[in-house]
Amino acid sequence: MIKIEQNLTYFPQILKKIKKGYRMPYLYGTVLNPHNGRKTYTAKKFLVDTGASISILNSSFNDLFEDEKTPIIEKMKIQYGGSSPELPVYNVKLKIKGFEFDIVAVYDKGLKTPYSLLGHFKFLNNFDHFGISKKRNKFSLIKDTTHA
Amino acid sequence: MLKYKERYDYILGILYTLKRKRQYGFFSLKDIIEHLDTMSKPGEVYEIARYLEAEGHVRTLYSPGDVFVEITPSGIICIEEKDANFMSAFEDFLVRQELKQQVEKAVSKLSEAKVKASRKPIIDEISEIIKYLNSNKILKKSDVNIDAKILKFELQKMIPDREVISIKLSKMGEFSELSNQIFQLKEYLYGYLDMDY
Repeated sequence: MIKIEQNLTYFPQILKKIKKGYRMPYLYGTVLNPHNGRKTYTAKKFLVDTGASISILNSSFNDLFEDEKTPIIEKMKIQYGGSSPELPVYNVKLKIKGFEFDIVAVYDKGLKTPYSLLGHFKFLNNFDHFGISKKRNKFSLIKDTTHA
Repeated sequence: MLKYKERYDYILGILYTLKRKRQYGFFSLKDIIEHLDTMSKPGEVYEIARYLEAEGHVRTLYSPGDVFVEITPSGIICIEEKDANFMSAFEDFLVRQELKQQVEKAVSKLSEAKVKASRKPIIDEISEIIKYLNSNKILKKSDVNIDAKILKFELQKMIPDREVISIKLSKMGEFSELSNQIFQLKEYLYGYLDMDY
C-alpha cells in the first residue's frame, strides 16, 4: 500500500477585494533525469492538478535538461489560456516521501510559476484514490499494491 | 566548508549517530544545521527538511522556527551504504565540532521548552512590532495592533493554527508602515506556512 497524505496549503485570499481563503494540494518531491543521472538537490513544489492531463515541469528544472542530450519522447502542444506552445516530453523519476514514480512529463523552460504540475498520465493514474478532506484539512493519494 | 549536497549526508549522519546512541524520537533540525559549518537563513531549515522528507530519509514535524526530524530506515540505509571515505570524513567532522562524545547534548529533542525556544526570534520580532504600534496614540488602538497580538498569542501555542497565522500575517502585510518588519516575519514564517514570497 502506498499512501501519501499531506496537509492542504492555506492561502488567506485570492483577490485583493474579497477576503476569502482557499486551500491547495501541494506536494514536495525530487526529480531525477535517468538519462544523464542529474537530479534536483532541493525538493520542488508540485500542485496536484486533476485538470492536467500530463505533468509539467517548470523552469526550475533547467539543470536536468540543459545538456539537450536527453531523448525526447515526443513534442506535445500544451494549452495554457491563450497560448499553446509545443514542448518536449521526457521520462523522469519523481520521488515523494520516499516513494519513487516513473513519470512522463512535459518540460516548459518558459514556465515561471513557483510550482510544477502533477497531472493524470503516469502520475494520478497510478493511484486508486485521490481525495480531499476539507474537514481534516488534508488530501491523500492511495495505491493498493497487494494485487500488483 | 561543506558542499550543499554534503550537508544532507552530515545531517543524516548526526541523526544516525543519535539513533546508535539509543536516542529515539524527533530532533531539532535547526540545532543540527547550526553545528554544520555553513551559514543558514531562517527559511532554509524548511527547504532542507522538505528535501530529506521527499527522499524518504526523515519523518518531519513542522513548527514555526524549526522542524523536528526523525531518521527513517531509508535514512539509516543511506548512511550505512556510504563508503569508508565518507565515514572517516564524518568522524573527523564530529571530533572537530566536539560532537563525538556528546551529540545528544548538542541536539535537542522535541519538547515544549525547545519548541518555545525556537519560536523566540519570531515572537521577539512581533513584540517589537507591538511596541512600535503602542508608541503611537492612533496605532495603539488599531486593528493591526490587535492582529499582531493575536499572532503572538497563536505562536505561543504548542500547535498553532496555520490558518490564523496566514490570515493575521496577510492583514498585517497590508499595513505599509510595517513593511520591513513584516518582511522579516515572512522570512521566518513563510517556509512553515508553505507560501511563496
